Amino acid sequence: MIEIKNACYQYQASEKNSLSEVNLNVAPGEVVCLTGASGSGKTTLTRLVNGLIPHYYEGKLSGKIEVCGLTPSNHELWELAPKVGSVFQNPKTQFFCLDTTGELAFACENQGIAPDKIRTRLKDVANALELTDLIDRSCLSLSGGEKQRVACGSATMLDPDVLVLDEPSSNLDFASIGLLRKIVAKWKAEGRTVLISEHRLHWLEGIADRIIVMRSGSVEREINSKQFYASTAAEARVLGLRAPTFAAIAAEQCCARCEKNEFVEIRDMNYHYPQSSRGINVSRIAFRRGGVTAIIGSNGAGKSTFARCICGLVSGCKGTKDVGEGPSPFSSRPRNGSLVMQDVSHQLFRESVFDEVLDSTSRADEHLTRTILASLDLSDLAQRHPLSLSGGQMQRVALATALASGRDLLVLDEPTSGLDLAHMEQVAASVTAAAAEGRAVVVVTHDPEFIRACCTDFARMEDGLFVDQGALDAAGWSKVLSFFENTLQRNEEDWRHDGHC
Amino acid sequence: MPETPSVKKKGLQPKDLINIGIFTALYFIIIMAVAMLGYVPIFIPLLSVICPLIGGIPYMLYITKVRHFGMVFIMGTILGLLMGLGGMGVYAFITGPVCGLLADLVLRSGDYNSAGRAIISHGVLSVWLIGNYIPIVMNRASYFAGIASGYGQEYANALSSYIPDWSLLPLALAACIAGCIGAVIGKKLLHKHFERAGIA
Amino acid sequence: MKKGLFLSTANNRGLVLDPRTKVLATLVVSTIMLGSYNVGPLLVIKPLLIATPFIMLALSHHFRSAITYLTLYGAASAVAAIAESCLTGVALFATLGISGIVRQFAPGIAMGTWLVTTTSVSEFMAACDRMHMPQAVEIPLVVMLRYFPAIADDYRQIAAAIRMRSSKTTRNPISAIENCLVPLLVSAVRGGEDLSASALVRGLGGPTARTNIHEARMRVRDWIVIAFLAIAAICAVITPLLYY
Repeated sequence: MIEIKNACYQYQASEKNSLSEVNLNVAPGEVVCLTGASGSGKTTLTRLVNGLIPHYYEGKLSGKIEVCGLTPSNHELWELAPKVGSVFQNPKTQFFCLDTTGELAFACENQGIAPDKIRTRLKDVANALELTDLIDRSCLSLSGGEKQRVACGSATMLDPDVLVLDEPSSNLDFASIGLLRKIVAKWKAEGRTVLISEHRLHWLEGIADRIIVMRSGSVEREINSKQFYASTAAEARVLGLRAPTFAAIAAEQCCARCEKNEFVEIRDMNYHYPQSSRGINVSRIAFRRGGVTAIIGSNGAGKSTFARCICGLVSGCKGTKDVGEGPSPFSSRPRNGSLVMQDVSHQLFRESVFDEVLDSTSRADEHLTRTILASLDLSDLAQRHPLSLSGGQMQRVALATALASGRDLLVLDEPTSGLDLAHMEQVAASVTAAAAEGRAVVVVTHDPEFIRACCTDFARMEDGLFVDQGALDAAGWSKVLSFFENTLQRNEEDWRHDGHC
Repeated sequence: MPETPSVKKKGLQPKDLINIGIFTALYFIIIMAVAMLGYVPIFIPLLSVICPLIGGIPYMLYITKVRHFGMVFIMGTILGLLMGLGGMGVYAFITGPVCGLLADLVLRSGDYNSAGRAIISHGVLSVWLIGNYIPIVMNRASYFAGIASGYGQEYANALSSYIPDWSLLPLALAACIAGCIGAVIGKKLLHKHFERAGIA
Repeated sequence: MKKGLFLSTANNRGLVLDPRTKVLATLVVSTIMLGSYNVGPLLVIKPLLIATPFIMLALSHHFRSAITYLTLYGAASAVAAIAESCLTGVALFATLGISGIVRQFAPGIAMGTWLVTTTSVSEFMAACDRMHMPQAVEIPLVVMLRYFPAIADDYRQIAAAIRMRSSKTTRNPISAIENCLVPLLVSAVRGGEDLSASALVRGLGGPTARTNIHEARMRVRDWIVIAFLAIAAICAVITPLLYY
């Protein structure tokens, strides 16, 4: 179905090959995962299959590529569209329309298919992929997971033989990943060929047939999925990969401990979402200084809003924060909280990393800036433009600006979504370094491996309330694990149930 | 194994059309954000200067992303269309495409590769804004119709002469110069940020 | 109900008109109201056109916008009347000018508000297709409409980030604009690359004529509105010929 022989590719702006001498054969109906560190060429390889190379990205390509009997370089993208469906990493940017129905119909409309036929097909796809409750909605009202499912539906509308997914789970929480798994399983059951590039592979256990590990533009090794999913986190780490299964994460030691008994305290926090009866109510929660508290919870529990509130970014949010000098409102300067946002590129403004951090210190303190950059291992990047960095690097620069501003409370909103093992561990190390100076660090996260790597405490939020909190000792860690496991499993049971019917 | 060079195509491709849409959105939003100043009516003439000054920033980035004839023409057409649909009358729908087309011609004379032509072309494009002032100037007499009946036609005429017909010309000239200055600022930011961030 | 540029959804909309009718109505109302003649049949037509946005907004269940428009227009007229009786010289001149500008533009802008808040992007595109708009205009237009909310969202994030930083960077207006525009443009360009890729792999820009699952259709109510607009337009055209 997919045949790639001796493919080499170099992007126009790049000086080295992104792919060198890659060979790949995928049989019809196979589900193949591409994995490996960022920059290993897995995304580039997906672009060879869906034709974005050579039609959209400019560069030098050689080698033989055949997909469904077509040669992408000899066929235009609209000729490939009915054969190959694609889903991309960021659910926010891949939507062309503002309503879900239009988005689903988009590919068919481009092929000039009659409206009646499109409507029938739309119903079939919505039923098959369980999207019926998402039809006729404004895309702006969808969560990231819902958008990603609509994107999957849109990719299926032309009934393609091959589906290419480029890091589809990066921005999703566990419940949404569970639903994504169902969709991929459905495709597999329908006999479609699926190629997925991905960092976190645990959700594909039982679906993936082969795992292909890439390193610096070549296929490093190919692992049979049984063998891969039986390996431990340590074995995966040797290959530069994230833990293969949930059990492998659970089997690891956790976690760092922090015994310090000073806290940053939030009291009487109260916020109502506009035009909704829902809100966030927190009578008291304390975050340990010198420690890192993970905030976990289902999608829509109010974690991100909570994070923005305690940093004083939400107007209409009542409550106080006490950093040890008596209670003060969230927005009071200069000691308010500092947030590293989910989309971190929105908070970097200067022309170099050095200036970015310098600008955040209170008195343009160059010495302090150098110290901070060194402590977060950013000295080599000091002269780069912050917006030219990779996602994980940008997270760490934003963290550095937060340290430079000398705030006592530091909040990170999903810092590791879409990061590979190496970058995730770098962020974890930076977070640990940030906490070591006696700050209270709070991390909203869906990533158990990240929690294991750097958190000392946890707090669980549901429906705008904190329902559980504690240190990440053995008992705490098992609570966190069972939360994630339950979120994922609930959907797996649904899936098995459907399979029987 | 034969090397396939990347496919080069002439004219506006779908990805160019998408970029045109994005930058027109940015340009329009910036104009609207600045135009909020227009709620204080004394600022209304100033808008023809401030809008092009800031508009130069996205514009200079825009012409690094699309380099084909028609890019500014379509942008001007859509800006005019939006002004029309937003209830500002049909005048901007004439000045928009006309100034866009002229700006495109200026760019083409520099083969879409000359910084100087790019700066001038933004000056030319900026003149489209006067489409929004045409009704104000044309209609000024009726604002003072009431005075004419009370104080006599002469008094009203004298007042009207404070805004003569040719007052559109200095506005257009100011917009053009501000457009060029805005483009120079845009060029500076292009070097300072966008090229280094790897998006220009 | 969600409001914003072309973000209307299907429920609770009241009167539904074809987007083509709405476009025509907006253009006719704004153009005639911006025109300078104020004699003959236009003395009847203009008040009707002034009332049109109010009626349309109310029929589409946008009651708050309808009241806002009415209040604004009424206030501008009242200010002019009061000014004429108690002001003189430059103050009178300025007040009448400002009130005149408001009254001149308000109906058109209210019509524009009505158009963009009661039409969804898909409906609008279907209407564009029916009007045989070329792809070179249609694609940028739809991308633009889709991008407005994205830019607004980015802007909110960036503004929050700027507030979080110590304020010294934002004192200078030029660097304030730079702080805001640089991340905004970078984010828009990067998002645009993703959007292009996702649109192209789904076959945008092929040689076949696009279809649209929404079908634009003119109904009796559309023709009634159009008939009224036609009368108004004819009056506006012949009046200057008759009187000057």
